[in-house]
Amino acid sequence: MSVDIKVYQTQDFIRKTAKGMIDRDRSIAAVQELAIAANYFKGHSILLDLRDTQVEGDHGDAMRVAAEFAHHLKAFRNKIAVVIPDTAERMARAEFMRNCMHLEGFQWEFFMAFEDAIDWLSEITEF
Amino acid sequence: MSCSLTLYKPSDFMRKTAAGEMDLERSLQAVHDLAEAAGFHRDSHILIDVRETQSTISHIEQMRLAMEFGNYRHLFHNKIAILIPPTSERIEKANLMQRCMEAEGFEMKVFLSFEHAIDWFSEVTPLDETT
Repeated sequence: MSVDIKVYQTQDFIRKTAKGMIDRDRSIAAVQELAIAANYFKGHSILLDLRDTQVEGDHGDAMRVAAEFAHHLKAFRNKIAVVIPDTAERMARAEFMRNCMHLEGFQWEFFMAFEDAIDWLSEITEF
Repeated sequence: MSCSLTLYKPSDFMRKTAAGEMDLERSLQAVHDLAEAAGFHRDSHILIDVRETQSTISHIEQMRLAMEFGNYRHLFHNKIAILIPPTSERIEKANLMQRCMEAEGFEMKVFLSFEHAIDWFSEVTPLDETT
């Protein structure tokens, strides 16, 4: 049996969970709502849980959503972790979105597992 | 699309991950390691991740293990979450362990999902719900 101990210090975060079909207009509305919350709870990271969603739209729509995030850049100073379904199509979309968000200057990463997102949002030290 | 917005304030926690075969001797050693760490991080909850293990521990040995935790009761002040594989045999063993630990005065819960353990360690406040 191998054993190790790690200490997790996880920053407070805002979790937005979405279900159902996501299109551009709804995504933009969600970003605006998130910006209000992020502005109010400054210093919090963001976790977007999209595991129970389906996505409509193309790369142009993704760029428009990234631009909406950028419009609220001051509200989103911390990490944004996105949890997506474990499919090749969603991964490809998420990679494109990540490129857009990195170009806009965000700390943005996507994950297929909630656990990996928490790891990324945490400061982890070996005991 | 339905959305919910929730605020999470997760408490610090120590995560002990084990893999392979768990027998009594190694489990006792793990309790000692954990007690030492808990002494240093008194405000942290504890997550024991045994999803990648096989357990050879009997019911009597589980009671022995809970007693060993009890010997270090003064070092364990917070919640203890145990993350196990989703099999009926492991769930039954873990539930017995939980009862033994509660008898020793510990606040312990068994989980099949990391996410639910984090929820238990966090102060979770709904901010809004829209559909």
